[in-house]
Amino acid sequence: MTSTNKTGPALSVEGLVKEYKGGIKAVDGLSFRIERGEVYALLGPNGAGKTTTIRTVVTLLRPTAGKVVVAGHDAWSDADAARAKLGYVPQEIALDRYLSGRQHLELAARLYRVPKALAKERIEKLLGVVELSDRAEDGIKTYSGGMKKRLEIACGLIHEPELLVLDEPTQGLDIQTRYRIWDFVAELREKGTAVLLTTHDMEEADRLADRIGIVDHGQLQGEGTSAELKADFGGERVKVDLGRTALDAQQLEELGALEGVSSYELRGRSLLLAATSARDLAPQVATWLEEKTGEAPRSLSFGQPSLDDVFLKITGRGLRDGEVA
Amino acid sequence: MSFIADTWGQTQRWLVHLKKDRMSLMLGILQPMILLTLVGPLLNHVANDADSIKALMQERFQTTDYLTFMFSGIAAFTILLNSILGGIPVVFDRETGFMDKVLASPVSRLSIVSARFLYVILYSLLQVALISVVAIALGVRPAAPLLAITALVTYGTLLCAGITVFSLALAFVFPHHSIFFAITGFLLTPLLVLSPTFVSLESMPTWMATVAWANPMTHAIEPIRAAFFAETWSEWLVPSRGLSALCLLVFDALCFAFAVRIIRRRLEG
Repeated sequence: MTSTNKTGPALSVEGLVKEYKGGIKAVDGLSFRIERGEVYALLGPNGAGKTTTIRTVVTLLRPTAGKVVVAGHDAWSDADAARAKLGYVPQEIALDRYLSGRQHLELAARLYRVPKALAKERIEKLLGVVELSDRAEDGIKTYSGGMKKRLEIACGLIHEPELLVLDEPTQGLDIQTRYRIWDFVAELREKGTAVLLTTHDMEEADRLADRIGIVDHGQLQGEGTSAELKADFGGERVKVDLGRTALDAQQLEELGALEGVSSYELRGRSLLLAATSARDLAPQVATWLEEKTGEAPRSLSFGQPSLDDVFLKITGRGLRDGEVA
Repeated sequence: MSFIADTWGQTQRWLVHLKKDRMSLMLGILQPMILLTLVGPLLNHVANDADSIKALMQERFQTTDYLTFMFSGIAAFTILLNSILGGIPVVFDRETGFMDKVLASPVSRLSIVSARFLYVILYSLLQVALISVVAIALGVRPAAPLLAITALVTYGTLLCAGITVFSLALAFVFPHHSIFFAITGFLLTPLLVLSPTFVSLESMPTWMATVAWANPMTHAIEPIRAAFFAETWSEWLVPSRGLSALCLLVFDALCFAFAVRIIRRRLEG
């Protein structure tokens, strides 16, 4: 058994760089840390570098530069000790179709070298926690997607890791299973397990994460609690659906110069404005658009910024394809 | 200690596969069984049909019992088939992401390969045992049974080891099972045909016999075949048995070195 350094962070990533052949930099100087018992969500559009970061943290990829330390152990030079401290639940369900739920947990216990008697005890407990006790002996071929995901999480917890890495934990799952997994992550936090999760679901990040890191182009573009990120947005937000109206650069500049506007962003036909008072700005924007373009906006909403707004403001246009994951 | 525990821990997974998928075990011996039950008796009949053929058989094959002659080739072919396809579950594990979960655990890297290796050897020997039962029923009779079994297990294991390790290395090279199947399928035919599975080396054209000498199958079949016909250990134990064992050991060592190089490179991200 490796020694445990209970005083440092559960995960420390410092200046992480991962460059693939051909000079493609998937991660470019990423730094963040996760304290013990903290849930940290890593958000980013496709190709932002999330998956590469996760794969480096779980020791599957060697970093080109920088350092990843899991519970005091370097993820590359002291990989086995680091591996023993982390649990990994990949994005895609990766189970063995010939094994039952219990056999999966037994295999996971052997992979993490959990003593037999202790493993037996933990398997019973975990099967109860993920509500699979009555289906433990069944082959996983008969499991639903939600049951498989719960089994995956149980396998990732068999050795009671100090850091659990969840890559898109609720992707493609029904709403009931999502809620169950969210409750489960909240319980883990209460027990002191740190969780690193990646997600595209802003509600998930908002509800679960103590802190959120927004990554794009392989770098951390924003970090903080949900409230901090929303505050950094620059006040309240006005969102305008321009419909068929097109704005040129000069018109945009004029809009941005309206009183109270702290920043603006045009994405396709959608205009996002940050303002000190959205309630005051909204009618001004509607009037300005009607006067300058001759057309009223298709819709206009205002209020406090959501995490979605923050994310879009930081990363610009939404999903991007064709980049290194 | 952890390496042994890690190996056994993962071998248990493959044993569950064997328990749950007996159909594959039976289907795996179907092809060698067809050869043994149809081709064997057919050619045995032809060989003994006329005195002239019988004499030629004796001259070229040193026996007129074609069934016993062919059995050693079929046993080696069964081992070849199993071991060359031994890497398939590893390819699937890589495709599904299961391998990532294993690699994210502190389990010994070598044990991932050794567990599969151990299982393929046990599985191959089990299949050879099943085929042997059929062979005995058909009339295959080794002159010295203990010698035949010893040679079968020893040379069979040496053949299985190198090819399994080679297959496992390929499983780490090719990311998709379709490429893996294409490559192994391509290798299988020359390994079978350019070997003394069906005919003796002496009956082959010179060029073919020379190529066959470089085939590891030859160095497994020849000593096993000789063991089935030898009446005593001393009759069997001639320098060429040692040479065959040495050739297989060199082949195994080369495959092992190739696999270590490939797998290490793949696992180091």
